[in-house]
Amino acid sequence: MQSCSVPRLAAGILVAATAFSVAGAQAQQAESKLYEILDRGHVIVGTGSTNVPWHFVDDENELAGFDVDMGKLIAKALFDDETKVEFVKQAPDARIPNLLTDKTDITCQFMTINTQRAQKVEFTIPYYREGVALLMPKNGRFENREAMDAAIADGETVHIAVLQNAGAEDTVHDVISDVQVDQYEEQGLVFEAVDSGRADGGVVDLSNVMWLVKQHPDRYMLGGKGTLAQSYGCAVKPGDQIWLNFANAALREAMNGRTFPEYADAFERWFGERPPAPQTGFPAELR
Amino acid sequence: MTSQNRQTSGDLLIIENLHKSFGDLEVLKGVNLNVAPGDVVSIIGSSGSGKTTLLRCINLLEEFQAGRILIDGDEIGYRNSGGKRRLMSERAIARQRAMTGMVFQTFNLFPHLTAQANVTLGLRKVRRLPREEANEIARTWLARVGLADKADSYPAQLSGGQQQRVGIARAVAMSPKLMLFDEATSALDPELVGEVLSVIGDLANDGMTMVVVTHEMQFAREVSSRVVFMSEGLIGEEGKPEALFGNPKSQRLKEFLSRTRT
Amino acid sequence: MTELLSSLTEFLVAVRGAQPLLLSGLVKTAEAAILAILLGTAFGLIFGLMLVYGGKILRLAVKIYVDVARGIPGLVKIFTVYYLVNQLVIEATGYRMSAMLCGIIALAIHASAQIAEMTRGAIQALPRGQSEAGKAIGLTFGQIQFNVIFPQAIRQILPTWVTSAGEVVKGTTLLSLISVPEFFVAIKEAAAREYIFFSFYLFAMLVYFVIIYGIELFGRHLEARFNKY
Ligand SMILES: Nc1ncnc2c1ncn2[C@@H]1O[C@H](COP(=O)(O)OP(=O)(O)O)[C@@H](O)[C@H]1O
Ligand SMILES: [Mg+2]
Repeated sequence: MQSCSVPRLAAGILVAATAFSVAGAQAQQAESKLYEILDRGHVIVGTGSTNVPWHFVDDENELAGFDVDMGKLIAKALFDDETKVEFVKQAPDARIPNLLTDKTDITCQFMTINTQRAQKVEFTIPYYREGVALLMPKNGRFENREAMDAAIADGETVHIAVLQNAGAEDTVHDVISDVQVDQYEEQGLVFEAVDSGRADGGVVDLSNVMWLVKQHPDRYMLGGKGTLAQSYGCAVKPGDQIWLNFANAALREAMNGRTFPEYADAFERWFGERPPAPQTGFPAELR
Repeated sequence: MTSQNRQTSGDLLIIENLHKSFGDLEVLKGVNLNVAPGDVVSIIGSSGSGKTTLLRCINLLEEFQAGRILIDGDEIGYRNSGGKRRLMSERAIARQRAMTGMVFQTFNLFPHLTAQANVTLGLRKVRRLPREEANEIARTWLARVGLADKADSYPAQLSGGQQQRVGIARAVAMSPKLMLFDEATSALDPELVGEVLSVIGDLANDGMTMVVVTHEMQFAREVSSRVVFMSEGLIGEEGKPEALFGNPKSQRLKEFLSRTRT
Repeated sequence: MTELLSSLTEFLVAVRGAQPLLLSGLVKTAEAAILAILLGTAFGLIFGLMLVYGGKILRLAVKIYVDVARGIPGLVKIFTVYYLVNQLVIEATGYRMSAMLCGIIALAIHASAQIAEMTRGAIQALPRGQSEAGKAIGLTFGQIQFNVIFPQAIRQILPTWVTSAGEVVKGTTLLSLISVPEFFVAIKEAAAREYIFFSFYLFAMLVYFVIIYGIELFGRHLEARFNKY
């Protein structure tokens, strides 16, 4: 849900570069990246390094986060060894270009599935559903969300911080109405506004709130979730059904099958709660 | 006199029928000149007559279209291959240039080098002498031109006369067979002209073969063994100084001399 | 006041914790900058010489290179090398250049164009008598360049060269867009992990200022050395 202004200037360069790689790919039909990866002995996963809890550099200087765990999960599905993965740290702008020029085999980088992007890359099934939520400080002006709602009902002014963008007002109103919306230019500033008490709460990504509440239960609490959802999926270069099928199988089994414990552990590690376990009998994902 | 000396192989410098043009402008129109070892030849003539161009051809700073220049019996700059006249390689030309020393009107010292380093550069890079030997030679020559105490000065710290004397030391230190001076004193303040002329005079007395383009008639008269009058790209008249100055034959030379005297 | 002090302490603790990360980023930035400056300078000098001494066609080719390289924004150059040139190289030779190498090449291209132009200007500003005096004592073309022309041209180039070197350092921050883990990426990573944003960005500013100021001091030192005459 990060809002990055993708510089369009690379578009032309990219079209030309893709032309070459596509020509190359056509020459060797009936092959798949899957076999190339198996031959190579490790999978190259594109992800970021500057967004907690998705992908970041931890205290041990290792890449960590939910996206990173998805990469390891795919490596495990390929080689039965979650260490057989090479992460390429990339800016969000580089996600699609790096796939199209074969610099990465697959990208798992909190990538929102939308139909514009689906015209350039192919998405796997989603592995997380992101929304927005209200982050409230524990030692703030309000005991809890009820107290805040009561104050709003009494006509008090409540300040809510949010990252500046075109739909910022709507984003806030998805979680809470009749408040003063303060827009900040940087995500970091939103947190600082909450920490310093300048804002009574901040509307940020649900995953961020979950992570912060898990990390600092003494400092933060969840002040409610919004209703608007978007799906995060991994993405691959288009035109390789074998590889896409494999990635889908790996993720689907992680969410609904034998490898669910690995997925659930990761989910709990980063979001502080355990996702609902798959039910036996009729496969619920077909419902 | 020219035709007399033409065949003499003992001459240090032989110029035969030298033609040089800049585009459509023919500047040298068939110059013939011989210089015997130990000769000091002064070239006089009005501005634009081709004196500088002639010196620059001898030092191969200019290419020329026809004619030959021989120094110590070797033709310089061009060779014949298959009946065609070809410019020699850049390296060969560099080697030949080292046979002649050139002193420029505008000194052209290397401003980033000390007086001594100006002199040693050629000794080290062209003659490939060891540092100590090059320094020794440089100091000797700087002393000869009266600048022993300026060895470590940069050109900008020297007067024009001192700079030109370093320029002379730089050229003679290379032990050239022939020295060329192009109006070495024209860019100097009048009071500095004397010190430079006396250095050139000293070299002449030591038997150095020299071609000196000059406007200093007094100097030409006293120092040269021969004077050449150039006019419109040709040698108009030449002879011993007393003959040339005392008894000019052509109308042009008479006019030139009367103009320079006043 | 105490609040400021405690947030400063918090920040310093965070910097300490992120030290390996920041250091490795700084090393990458230094590596990229130094190599790009060296390459850019070497090629800039060569291209500059071509502009001065080359034949008509060579001069025209280099002139086009210089104008194009100077006209294209830095980010576009980086993307072009990383995505397009890299692809062409792979098609031709099978060799895949690393992101770091691509970044260095892109930065070096920019620097080389700037330095080529400076070199041309500096050499052509020297009086013709300088090379003629070198010729007159029998120096070859190469010897004249190294002993007479370059030392004087360099002195002229130095102040603008320092500006170019500083530009390269600033340009390394763009390399994060092609996955080079340079210093600014390390800063962003540390900031994200610690949820301390402004202090880290301020810190980055300070570090870049120190580096660029250091280059400037180095340039002045060189200038002083060349300024003896
Ligand atoms: N590089 C050049 N290009 C074109 N014309 C030149 C060049 N050098 C000299 N000339 C011309 O050649 C003629 C002779 O010049 P120069 O040899 O300098 O004469 P002097 O030294 O006798 O005054 C002059 O008409 C001058 O304008
Ligand atoms: Mg002249």
